[in-house]
Amino acid sequence: MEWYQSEILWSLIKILVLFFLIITGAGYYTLMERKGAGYFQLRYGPNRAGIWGIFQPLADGIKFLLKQETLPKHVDVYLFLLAPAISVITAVLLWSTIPFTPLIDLPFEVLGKSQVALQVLNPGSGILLLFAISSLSVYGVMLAGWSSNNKYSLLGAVRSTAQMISYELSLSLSIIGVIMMAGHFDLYRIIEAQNENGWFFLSVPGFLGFFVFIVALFAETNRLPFDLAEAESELVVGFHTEYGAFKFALFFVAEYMNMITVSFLTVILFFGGWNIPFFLRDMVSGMWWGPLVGVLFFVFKAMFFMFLFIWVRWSLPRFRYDQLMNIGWKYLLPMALIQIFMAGIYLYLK
Amino acid sequence: MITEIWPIIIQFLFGLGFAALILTAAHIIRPKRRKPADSHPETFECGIPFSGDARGMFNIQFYIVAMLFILFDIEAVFLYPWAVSFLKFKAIGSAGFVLVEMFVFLIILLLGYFYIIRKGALDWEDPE
Repeated sequence: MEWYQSEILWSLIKILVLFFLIITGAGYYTLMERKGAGYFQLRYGPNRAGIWGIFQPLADGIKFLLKQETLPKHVDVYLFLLAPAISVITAVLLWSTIPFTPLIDLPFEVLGKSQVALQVLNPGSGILLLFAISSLSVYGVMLAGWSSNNKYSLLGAVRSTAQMISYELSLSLSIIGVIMMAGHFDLYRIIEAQNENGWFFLSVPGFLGFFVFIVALFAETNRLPFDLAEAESELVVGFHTEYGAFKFALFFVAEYMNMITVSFLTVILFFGGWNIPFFLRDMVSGMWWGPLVGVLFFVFKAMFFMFLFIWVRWSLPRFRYDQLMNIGWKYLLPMALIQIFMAGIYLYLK
Repeated sequence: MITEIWPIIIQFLFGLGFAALILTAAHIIRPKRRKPADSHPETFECGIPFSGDARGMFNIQFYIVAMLFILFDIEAVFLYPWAVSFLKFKAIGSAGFVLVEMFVFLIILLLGYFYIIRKGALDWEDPE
């Protein structure tokens, strides 16, 4: 066997390529957020580092690296250092099951196959694995708050944990309609099912499920209007109050990487992934660059959701904590259950 | 198509390596010449001196939410295999039976849900 036919090597290459894309994406997502914030508030946003602030993410990174490093006195050192690592590891693991491209024809053979998809692993239970990993990210937040031994951190962490597990319930129930229609946990096949039957968003259970899903997603990623974890006006910044320099940057990067991943996930589950709409599909079918056009559509659809995160953040005020819990348990959860009822009846009659 | 799950180990090691590398790099590169002020590593409490320990008591409601989460999450897990095989049941013509089964399950779930609501387990203090 030739050396380049090793499966480990090829999955490492995929991981490296995706990592490079996503970490760059996360960097420029922060720029987009700050630019967006600027324009929403009628100011320019960062515009000093390069034209349109294009080197701002780089400048931020260097700044983080060159910051003085302090270990606060009263912390549990190991847990304190472990917490940002857990956050970033779960963020990295989260995109392992996302298929970023369809199967693309290669001019040469790799491992006896001439087609390859940019997806690190494709287990039959993709979406289950994804939710399992995403629920692990609670540990990063909780350990950070606990080990800091700071009142603001602990309050933020406890609030955030309760919020994340409450909304995780609605999140996992809201995709049952999609799973029923696709008949698979496999993300690749969920997209293929939408290729045949149209976007799940346009069907009755998918439509309802989408709204529960997107609200729960905002709460899961700790974004406004649900950013009770880091309510600046009352808790400083919540669970990462004691973190500085690159330890903070890891939380920051993990948050933005998570947002990119869930944007792609939303498109996969409800908006048909790399499906090409309308007549365009017939135009590109059979061409070798057809899948690449699909990927372009995929990225644009995902970018809309990335923008939605920013849009909502600078348009809505924050909820109060009791309102947050009421929304999660008394409105979203029944809505998710109704969506299951409807999905059952819809598929039965269809 | 790769169907096994082993690449996730590589992915995990990659994430771990990235976190370890970046924390070590930040540790090596950080400026060392000037010593921080003595008060610098104190626990942050908005400028006033740190008092007591942070790990006190907090609202019992958080524990209740955690317990309810486990209960309902298990129900959600039961729904998954049903959802994924619904179309297969429909193909062999027993969709109606499976649907009624799940409605019975969901109605029992809803009974429990209304019980918690009535008990006030999900009522948070309204500051108004």
